Amino acid sequence: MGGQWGFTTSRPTDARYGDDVAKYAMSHGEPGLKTFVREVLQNSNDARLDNDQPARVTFKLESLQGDEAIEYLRALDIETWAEHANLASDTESGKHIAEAIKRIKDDEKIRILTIEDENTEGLLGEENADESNFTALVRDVLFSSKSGDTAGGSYGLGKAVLWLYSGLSLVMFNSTLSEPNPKDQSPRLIGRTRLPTHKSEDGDTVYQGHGWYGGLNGDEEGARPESIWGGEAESIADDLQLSRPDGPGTSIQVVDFRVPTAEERLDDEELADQITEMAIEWFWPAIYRGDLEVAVEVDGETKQASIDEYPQYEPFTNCLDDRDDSVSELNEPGDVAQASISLDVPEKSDGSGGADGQLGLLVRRANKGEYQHRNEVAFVRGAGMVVEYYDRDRVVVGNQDFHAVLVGGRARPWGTDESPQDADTIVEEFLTAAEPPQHDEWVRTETLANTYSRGFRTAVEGIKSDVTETLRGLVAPDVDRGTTGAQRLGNRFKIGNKSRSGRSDRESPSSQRVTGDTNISFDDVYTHWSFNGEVEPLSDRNEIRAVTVSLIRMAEERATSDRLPVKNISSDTTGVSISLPVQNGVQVGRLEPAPGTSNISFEGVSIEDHRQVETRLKVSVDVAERRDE
Amino acid sequence: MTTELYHLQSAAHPMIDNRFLADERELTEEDLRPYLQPLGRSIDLSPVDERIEEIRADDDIDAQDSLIDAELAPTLHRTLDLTRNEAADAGLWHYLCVVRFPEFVHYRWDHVFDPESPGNMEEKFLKAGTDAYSNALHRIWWGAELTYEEGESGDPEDRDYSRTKQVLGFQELANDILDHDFARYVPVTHACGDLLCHDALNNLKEEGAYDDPPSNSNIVSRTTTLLREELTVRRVEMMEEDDIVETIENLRDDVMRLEAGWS
Repeated sequence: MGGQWGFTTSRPTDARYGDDVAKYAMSHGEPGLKTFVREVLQNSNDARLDNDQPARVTFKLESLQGDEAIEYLRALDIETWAEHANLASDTESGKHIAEAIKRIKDDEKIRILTIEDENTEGLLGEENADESNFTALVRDVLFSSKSGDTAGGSYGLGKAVLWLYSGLSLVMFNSTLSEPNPKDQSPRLIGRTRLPTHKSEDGDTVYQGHGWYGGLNGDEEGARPESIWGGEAESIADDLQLSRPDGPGTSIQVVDFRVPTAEERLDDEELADQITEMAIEWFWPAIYRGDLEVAVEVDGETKQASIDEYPQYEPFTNCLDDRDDSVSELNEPGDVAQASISLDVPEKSDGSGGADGQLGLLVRRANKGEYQHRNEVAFVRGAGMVVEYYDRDRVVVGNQDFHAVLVGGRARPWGTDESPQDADTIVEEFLTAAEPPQHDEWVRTETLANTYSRGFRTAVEGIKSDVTETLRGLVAPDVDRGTTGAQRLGNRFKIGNKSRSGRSDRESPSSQRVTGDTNISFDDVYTHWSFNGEVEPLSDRNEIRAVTVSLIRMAEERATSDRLPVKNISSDTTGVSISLPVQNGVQVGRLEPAPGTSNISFEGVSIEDHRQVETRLKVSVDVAERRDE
Repeated sequence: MTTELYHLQSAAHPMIDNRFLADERELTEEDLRPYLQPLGRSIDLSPVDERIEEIRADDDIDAQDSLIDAELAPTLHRTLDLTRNEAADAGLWHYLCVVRFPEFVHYRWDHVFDPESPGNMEEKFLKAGTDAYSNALHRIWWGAELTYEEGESGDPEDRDYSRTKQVLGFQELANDILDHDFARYVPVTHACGDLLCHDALNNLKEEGAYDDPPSNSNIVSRTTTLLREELTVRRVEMMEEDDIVETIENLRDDVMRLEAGWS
């Protein structure tokens, strides 16, 4: 007896899916291993049981070969699955999946990554519950059931990475529940695949693409297979190398694990090392506080991820260790100073909440040789994950090098005897809402706009400039800090790239009149630069007449007059006319919006660039008084 | 006769006015006495005076020619036997240019003087320090310091200044090297001097490997720009000397073939 695959049907008129949208939403920007490790650990961290024990997560990498691989694939009922996968091969992603399954069958070799967590809730909930761990992870797309205020994830999007990192878009789950289920016995086993929409061979049935591996109840056509429980689940789990220890938690198996953008397949050892380091890099707060333990197992050998082995993160943990002995001036390497930054959380739209909150900034003067993450501020809230390392290299000319931690929300009192206050909980909730799906920064998000009343934008956008301002005071105590309010505002709204040398940027007229955000990064897959940005005038009385985007080559000391041509630019702002004019012999991107446009966003790419030297984005914005519409 | 070396304090800078820059008046040691701080070293600078006389008398070298720098460099560098630490003292060069060798500075640079914007001339007397490009003598001394080869004996007389002459005799090359951060690393200045001097470029052109190569000045300016861009992602001090040479050769190659991208 084993499980079977079943695929949900849909009507011919229903929407068709070439692939799973959520997978791409998550992979946008950072499709390397980082997204995967962050999301997986965040899921387990959020599901930690409310006791004194840490959530324990083990990544197990295995490459199965020959008979072992064949046995495994048989247990997976791969033949039924492959029939469907092969029907979907008229789409791009379907083709890749069909190729992957052929490769696996030909080579008789498959790599699986199993993420086993312990002391977590497990996949609680009825098969068809509206809101449960089970339905959130296994069934739903873009639903999150995590408690809204403190969980690391609040979109339900993160789990989509599981399928993105499976060459077959196939993930298996085996879970021991933390609360007894009235009907059934743990463990609970189920699999899920996300294929493109496809038709049966005779063309009569349309399959939406979502498939489940489990037990079928009755013969109902198109019914979804449901979880297999108890002894049967245990026996299948054995065949699938997915058995679990006794305690509550979930094992997730990514079948044919791959890093979607990696140029070559890394070997297991290298992957293991990368996973370990990333776990420390992004979760040292949770690990340091004993809330999370991470291990990686390759060929049966387990290695614990320990901060001691990655001393480059110790300057950050030292900030918390030495908080109680903080000094007022950073005279000696290793000294820690602290400061408070206020964050006024506005009321929610329904009138609740709102608080004069505080964030704690802990700054430690660097020792010689501590060069990794130097002059960076780790942004952390109660979830214990580093949201972002905010680079403040040369925040003032001639400063002292430092490492800093910004603790917000429930993390604010870390390192002291205090407990979180009500205001900290309100801040925690606010910061969570300020995280985009990737949870990698605190910015203005749709959730913020929908939840909070006026003032949220000033609050969230002011965090970074307040951190910079406070750092200036701590790392360069002799500098005259008589900055006026207007100048502070100018800095806060400066757009484009910061000056590398710490010299004050020359203020261009547009930077004083517009606000916005720009990003540029190199895309190894396409060997070009990808950029995007968003600009809007500071004043409601103004509108944007034109935006010109050029790509500037940097030299050691300053920008050169070299430009890299823009190959393409697009905008999802309605009514924008787009052109690629040539300026001084080089193609630039130009956007001219319809009258009355105040906010304009764009994205684009450079031509192929094999030199890959430092390149920055320059955005010039023509702003004028709003015309009558 | 030896010359006592001084540091000219910046408080004296207002005296370097348009009349001085236009060579309408001199500033003597007496005039500047309150602003002169002795450095405790005396050097016989007469070989430099003599060499300047010879250069001025040479019919093949015009006033204001960059060849002047090239011809003076070996003598200046050998005679002013300073440590790098001493040579980093801007006030020393201000003293030498303003008090000891003003005639030379005028002879070499008078063409840049513009009473409306005297900055270009002023920097020939008063820049220096980390700016290896501007001060008339500092520029020559550092140009030599960064390009000469030590002889086997280690004796100043035994030094080989042929690269120095190639670099300083080619104004574009001297400027492009001295004005940029990479000049602080000698293996790079040596490689740039050897690969981008007139002799090297003319040889390449004679070999005829490139169809329609740009002018030597353009090759130098473009190659050094590409090098500076390259060094945004590579740490030059971590590169082997062979690697530095190969990098510059490859960039020069792109420029010669007119494939150097966008300007």
